[in-house]
Amino acid sequence: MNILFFLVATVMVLAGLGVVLCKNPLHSALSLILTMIGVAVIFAMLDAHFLSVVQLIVYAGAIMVLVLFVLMLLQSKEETYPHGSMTTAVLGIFAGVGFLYLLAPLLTTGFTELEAVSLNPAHSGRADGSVEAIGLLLFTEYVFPFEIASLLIMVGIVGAVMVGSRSIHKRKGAQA
Amino acid sequence: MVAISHYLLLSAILFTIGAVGVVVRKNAIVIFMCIELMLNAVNISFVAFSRELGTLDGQIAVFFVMVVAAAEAAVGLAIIIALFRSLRSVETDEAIELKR
Repeated sequence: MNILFFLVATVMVLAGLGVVLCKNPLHSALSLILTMIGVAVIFAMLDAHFLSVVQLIVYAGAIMVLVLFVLMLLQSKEETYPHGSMTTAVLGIFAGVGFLYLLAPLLTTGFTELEAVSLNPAHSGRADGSVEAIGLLLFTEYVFPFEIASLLIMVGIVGAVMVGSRSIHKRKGAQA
Repeated sequence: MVAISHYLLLSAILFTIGAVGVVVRKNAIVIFMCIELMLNAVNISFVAFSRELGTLDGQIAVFFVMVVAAAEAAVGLAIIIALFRSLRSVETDEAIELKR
């Protein structure tokens, strides 16, 4: 368990760095897929089985395939990186290190009270993220947000078609 | 034993990488991917707290984050395609029409 976590975490951090540092956006996308598979493994380790599978299917599958589609559709020949201003890169790295410096002590020392019930087997049974448990909660307590989510997806699809197919829109306007 | 702070630290590192990527990169699609990385980082801490506290509400929150991310991916990529149609480029430095 311990070794697996640190192995997966190392791979995820390296792949995350790859997303930012790769010159070719295609390589960034492939690194991001690796990070998302790592997230799925972490979810499985935390007993969130349903989310682990959904992470693989929706994120690493559907969303990243969509991104790769668009990337290959629009691929400009040469990628300009970091595109002139070195100051932006330096300032960005400074901001990132500073942000992490502020966050890290908070995360490592601020939860002594929670640490007492730390990820122990006593709690593992109560929060099993099986399909049954998640589905039961989703269709009883969270049924209203669930329906709103379906509405949001529908609005998203209509919006994507409207924004994406502007040429059709324009042609219709020209005819009228 | 892996404690919750390890998961939170991993989450913080990934979030920071994503945030730096949004600031540093110029390609709109790479910026979009960095936003996805930040969403994933937050999801890890949601699930870690859910496991820690013995409730499933955090996992429900992650489910809704995924729903919103899917809708965001569809709309965001459509906007990037529209941007490419008008500018012939997805570099954010080219999208300066409002500055003129």
